[in-house]
Amino acid sequence: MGIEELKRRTMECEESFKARGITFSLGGQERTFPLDPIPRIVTAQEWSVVSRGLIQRMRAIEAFLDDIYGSGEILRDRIVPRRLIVGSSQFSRRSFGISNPNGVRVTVAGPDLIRDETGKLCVLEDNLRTPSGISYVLENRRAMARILPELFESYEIEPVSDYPSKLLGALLKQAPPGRRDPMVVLLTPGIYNSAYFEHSFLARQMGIPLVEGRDMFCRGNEVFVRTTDGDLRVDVIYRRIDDDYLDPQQFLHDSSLGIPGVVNAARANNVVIANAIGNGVADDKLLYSYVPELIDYYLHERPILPNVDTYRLEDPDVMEFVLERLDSLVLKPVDASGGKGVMMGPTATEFELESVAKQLSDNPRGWIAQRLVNFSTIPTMVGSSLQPRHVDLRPFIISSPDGHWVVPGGLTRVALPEGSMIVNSSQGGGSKDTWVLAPKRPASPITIPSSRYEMPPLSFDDLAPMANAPITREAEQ
Amino acid sequence: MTNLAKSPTMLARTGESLFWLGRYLERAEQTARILDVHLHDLIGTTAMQRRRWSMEIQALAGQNPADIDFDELALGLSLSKSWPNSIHACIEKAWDNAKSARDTISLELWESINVTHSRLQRAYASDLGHSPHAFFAWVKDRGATCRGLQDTTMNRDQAWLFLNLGRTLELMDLTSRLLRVKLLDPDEEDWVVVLRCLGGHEAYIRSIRRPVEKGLAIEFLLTETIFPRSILHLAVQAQTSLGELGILIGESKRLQPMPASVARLIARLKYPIGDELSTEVLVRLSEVSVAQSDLWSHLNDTYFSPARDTTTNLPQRTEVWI
Repeated sequence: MGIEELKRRTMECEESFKARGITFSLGGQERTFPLDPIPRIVTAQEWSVVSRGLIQRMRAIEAFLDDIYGSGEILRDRIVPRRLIVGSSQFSRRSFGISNPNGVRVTVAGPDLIRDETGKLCVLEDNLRTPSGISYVLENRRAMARILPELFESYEIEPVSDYPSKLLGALLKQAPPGRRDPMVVLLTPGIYNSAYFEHSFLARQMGIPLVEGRDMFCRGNEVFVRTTDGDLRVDVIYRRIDDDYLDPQQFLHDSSLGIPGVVNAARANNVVIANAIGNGVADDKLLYSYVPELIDYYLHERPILPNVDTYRLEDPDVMEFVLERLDSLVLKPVDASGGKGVMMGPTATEFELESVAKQLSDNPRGWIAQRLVNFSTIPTMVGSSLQPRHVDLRPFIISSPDGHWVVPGGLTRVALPEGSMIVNSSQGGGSKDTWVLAPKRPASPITIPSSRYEMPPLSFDDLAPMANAPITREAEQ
Repeated sequence: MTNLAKSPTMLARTGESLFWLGRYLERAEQTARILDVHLHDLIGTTAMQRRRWSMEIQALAGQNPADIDFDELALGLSLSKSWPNSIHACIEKAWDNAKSARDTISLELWESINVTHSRLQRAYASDLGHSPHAFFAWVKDRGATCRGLQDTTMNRDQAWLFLNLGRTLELMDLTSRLLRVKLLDPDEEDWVVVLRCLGGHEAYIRSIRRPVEKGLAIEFLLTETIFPRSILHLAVQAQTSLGELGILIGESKRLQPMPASVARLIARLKYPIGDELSTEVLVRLSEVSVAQSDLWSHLNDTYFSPARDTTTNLPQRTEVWI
């Protein structure tokens, strides 16, 4: 197959994405997330290391969240300074003492990984709040089967389609104790949210209602959803809205997206909110730099996946060191997500550098500096040729009381402009399907042992009874 | 026989979205039809006539009639973003509602609505723009496609019933509005236009077999049981759908399966006394309005936002300290 044919098939696919509404909205426009037809391939061997590393990280972070919203041992042992926790804008005093009876706070995590100059995958961000992108993973895989069916025959690729059932399983297991046949809902901010497609996609795939705040109400510390057949009690809320909008009684008072009273219902153990409230504190970029310590403290293990070198600016010596070489570092505000406010030293203007330097000195707690990683590129179709483009990887980890499950692969995002390192979908990013090749198994022919149910082959005589009813009009013959 | 009690739960808001999806789809299509018919018949009419039609159509579209030129009106009702009942606005609202109810309609219906929405502007601007008839034909085709997909790819579950009730109520509304508007003018002789606005000219000829005249046309639009857009047919259809809904969900709670005014309307249309159909047209039409608003209240009070009894069944409050 030539590149022109590949291009044609990709275009067809994009048209079908558009027609089916597999889009995100950006400034009122419905856009597709361009899919690059060249898959990214990860070997089974490497993936097993990555997946162990991710699970290790999740275990440490779960333990940490449970600790700081509970007894606070890590603070007493002075591994993480107390001011770092209570000073975080994402630390939520309201979640203090809410503990999911089934012990999971981060039901879904979608960390960002990049491959550094030495070829090792390292973690850039943990994304423990409401990570999105999984719908593109599933849809991309379906699309690839249409674009390049030939490749699927020659490789054995780990399937990703289990995701919705794994997620539903994890949510059901987290229901408050004693609930039979728990009612799970997916809470979305509404049709104008840029990720609405994903919310509706997941709800459909899991067969659970897609609700907005106004569909629900609390009474007597229980949460109900209004249906055409009366009010039904809700047991688990998989929410895709931020903490701040979740409960106007507790957070932003003028938010109409949430459910008044839902935090108290969760505190009374009548409903489970997944992901839990207050996870953002472990997403704080300054805390990110402590994750290796957390792994050591809680698990007594060495981290399998490294962090990117990060400078904590609260130390005056470090601050001085950073200020001297601002133009070669990446500066990030600690509490933002989705690439907001990030400054890349080498491409910044003099003015930007100065203003950032001032912000750093004013608020050392509010920023971190990271080494600029020249992360890896893979071949990508640009026009009618293949060119190297930078990519990152967002795998998804589902945690349930029974354990963890990592999607084999995940979303590979591509920075489409030449030389660009920004992969965000809102800034001209595209995506690739990620293939984790299944480990080689000894090939054995499939045999069906019994011949008892074998049907005798049909003969044309068997079709004779069908001929009795005419299938064309006689007059026309 | 399937277990009807096991009908999957549907959010009250989704039910409402489906109902409005049905209404807006129907409205977009009917607006295109009405504009098409009038534009076609404009040829060779007087300036007087044009002005009157412009006023009438504005009244039909629920706007305060202003003195605007017919072409301007046709353009506005096709594409204006600020006119609440333009085809563009209807498709936009239909799309919003379809998005909200995405998990209850079939993929094919959703795709069809999504494509209609994304191509509407382009359809007008590019190849179809130079002929309004081609544009209206496109809108009508899209409408027919949506209806066909709704009927062939969806279960006859509550989603379908809500959609269909939306369509039925919209058509009832349209037929009665059209009759009202045209009756405003005692000199209106062109009842062929009225029939064609409802796609009923040929139907009239086939079933009445008389030349089109006012009295017969009104009777036809009110009571012809085999014409799918007559008030009687639509009212019976609404009655049937409501009954099915009642069986499908929570039969026990709905003591009254349907508003009395609808049943009364059906009876009066079916069994008129003397010539009351022709002498009391306006009375019938106001009964239609009452029936319509009762149907809406019935749907709203039973399914979309029923009043809650907050005094009973309050679960034991767990003490909570913050």
